[in-house]
Amino acid sequence: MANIGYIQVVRHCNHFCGFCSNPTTPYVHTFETMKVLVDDFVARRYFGVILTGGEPSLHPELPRIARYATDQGLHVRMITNGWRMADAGFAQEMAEAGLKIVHVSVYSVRPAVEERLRGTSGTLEKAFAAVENAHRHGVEVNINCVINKLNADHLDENIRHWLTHHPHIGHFVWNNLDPSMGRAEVNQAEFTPRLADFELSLHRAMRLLHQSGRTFRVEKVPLCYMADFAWASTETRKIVKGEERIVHFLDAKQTVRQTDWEHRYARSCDVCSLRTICGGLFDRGDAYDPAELYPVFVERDAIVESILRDPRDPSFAFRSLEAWREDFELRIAEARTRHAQRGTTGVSAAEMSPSGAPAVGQVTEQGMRLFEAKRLVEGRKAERLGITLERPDVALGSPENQGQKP
Amino acid sequence: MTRVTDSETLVVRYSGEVSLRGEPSLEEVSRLRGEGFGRVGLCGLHPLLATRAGAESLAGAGVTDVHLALHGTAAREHEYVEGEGEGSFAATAAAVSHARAAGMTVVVSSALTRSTARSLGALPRWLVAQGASGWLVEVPRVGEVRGKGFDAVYPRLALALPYALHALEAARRMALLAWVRGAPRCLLGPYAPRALAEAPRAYGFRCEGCPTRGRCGGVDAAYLARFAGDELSPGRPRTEPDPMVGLREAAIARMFAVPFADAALTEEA
Repeated sequence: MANIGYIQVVRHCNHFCGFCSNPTTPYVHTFETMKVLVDDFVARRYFGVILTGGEPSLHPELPRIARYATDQGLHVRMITNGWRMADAGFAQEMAEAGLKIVHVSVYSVRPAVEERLRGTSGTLEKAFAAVENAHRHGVEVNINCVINKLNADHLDENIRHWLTHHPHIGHFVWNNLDPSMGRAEVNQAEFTPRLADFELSLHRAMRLLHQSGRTFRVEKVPLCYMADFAWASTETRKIVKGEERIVHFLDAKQTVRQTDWEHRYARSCDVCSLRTICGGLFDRGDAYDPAELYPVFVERDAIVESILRDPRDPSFAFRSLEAWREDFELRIAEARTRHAQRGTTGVSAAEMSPSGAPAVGQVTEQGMRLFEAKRLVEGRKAERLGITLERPDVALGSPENQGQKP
Repeated sequence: MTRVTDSETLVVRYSGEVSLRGEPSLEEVSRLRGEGFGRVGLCGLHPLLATRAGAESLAGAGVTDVHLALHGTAAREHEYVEGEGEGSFAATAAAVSHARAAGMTVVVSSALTRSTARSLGALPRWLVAQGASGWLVEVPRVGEVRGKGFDAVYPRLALALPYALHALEAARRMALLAWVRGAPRCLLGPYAPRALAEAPRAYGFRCEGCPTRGRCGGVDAAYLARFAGDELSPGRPRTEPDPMVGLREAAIARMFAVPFADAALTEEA
């Protein structure tokens, strides 16, 4: 297995997405505090690190930490809105720092929709420029897209745009909206889609990519809504490969280690042939409807084999299906024991916080002042856009927010 | 369709043919044959079909054909959709076998739901092996989707129908007579001639001016309200071949006069 961890480099952003799940906090990173986290991944024998945020490119020492992570042997990626990468000089600097893959986040190629979702105008042009700059400097470009109510009906239109105008892009990532944190939590009604809202356009989009030889991953979508592309489910791949994920949150949650990829299931899931490899319905935030789930009766191991034998997945050495089954049965038994012990209380904070994890960032006086100023500005933006600002206790740390999944 | 007793529904399908839903007695079957009906069909899992001897007694009384519902080749799939609990698949499979052994013609209906769509393709082989004479893939009507709720059962047609068409093609290759009902013709592509006629329902904005509208049942109004009909597209004017190429095919098709999808899909979610 090959794990990839996340470091939230900053938590502020120059966009103002109404469903941002990781908005501004008073926590800040220095190079030294980030270095400790990189060292932690190296010590855990992680394959790579994803620098994220907030908007990570707003940290002045981003190229330096990317260089450091590269020098430690980590595969370095970044998730960005592309605003700074639209500057060719910055793109070159990141390429020279060893950045291997940049995930440029674009929700919709329809300008009006993108502007509404980002709370900012002129972002599409910057994202398109970032894509080309990164490509020009040898950084592989992936496109990330959060599935939400406003783009649910045209995910395939987005893909057609990318294939036509930026054909070098070979990999796409969809994240169904996480409605449990930040502004996403308090604006669920406006942004959280029903699964049936996007299933047709997602299917068309996946088919377009598959037919054109591209790859893709989809997160927080149960397998009954993935049709023939179950092998592309992030949760399913993690379950099959037994992978974990650590996110160093730059907020009160601090370090979260996710080893359990199962969310919520309906009673009808009990008879589903894919139950054991499906992440189910994303449960955090309680925004998705279990009544949309249904069982399917297809061959599970065909999906497993396509994951095990995926020649384009460098993170996993092939082993036989028989060996996998043996290992998987053991893991399932362990998971059942854990779930039985846990009962209905969910994953505890202790269970998701690895022991000995280093502190993530720090709250300084200056950070606090910047946070308060940012809250004021964002409060005005929220009012203008007609959306609700996230609860401040998340940023400042309340016990109830400990242990959330990324 | 005329209800004639508490336990049965009588459908006169064609001159001299009758279908009975429920559990008619041997005497009732004999009486109908005596009244001059040349063919008497049973719709549903009559208890006498549980044994070879029972099936033979039905045949002896004058039952000529049997129409059953089967939604998958695996018990848990069929029983989930049928909502009849454990044993329903085995009972249906046995009924097919006994009816065939007693010389009756057997046709089977399968509901196209979210859960069955991806595995329908396995059914033709099973049906041919069991000696079934005809097969109908039926999109349930929204009003018939009881208990489970629309979202978990009713398929997004543009996603589910390609699987159904694949299954129809599998049936064609195995010389199994097969049809589809309840789907708009524009989503059936070259299989549109395999659509059985049905009463018109609702039509989307894209159906205006569609040359096949007169022969198309459209979609349920509830489906249209939920999904706006954006997957519907007007067809091109063309002459479709007559789907009923022979007397036998027409006779088998008539056996699907009674919809089965409403008998399925009853389990609580």
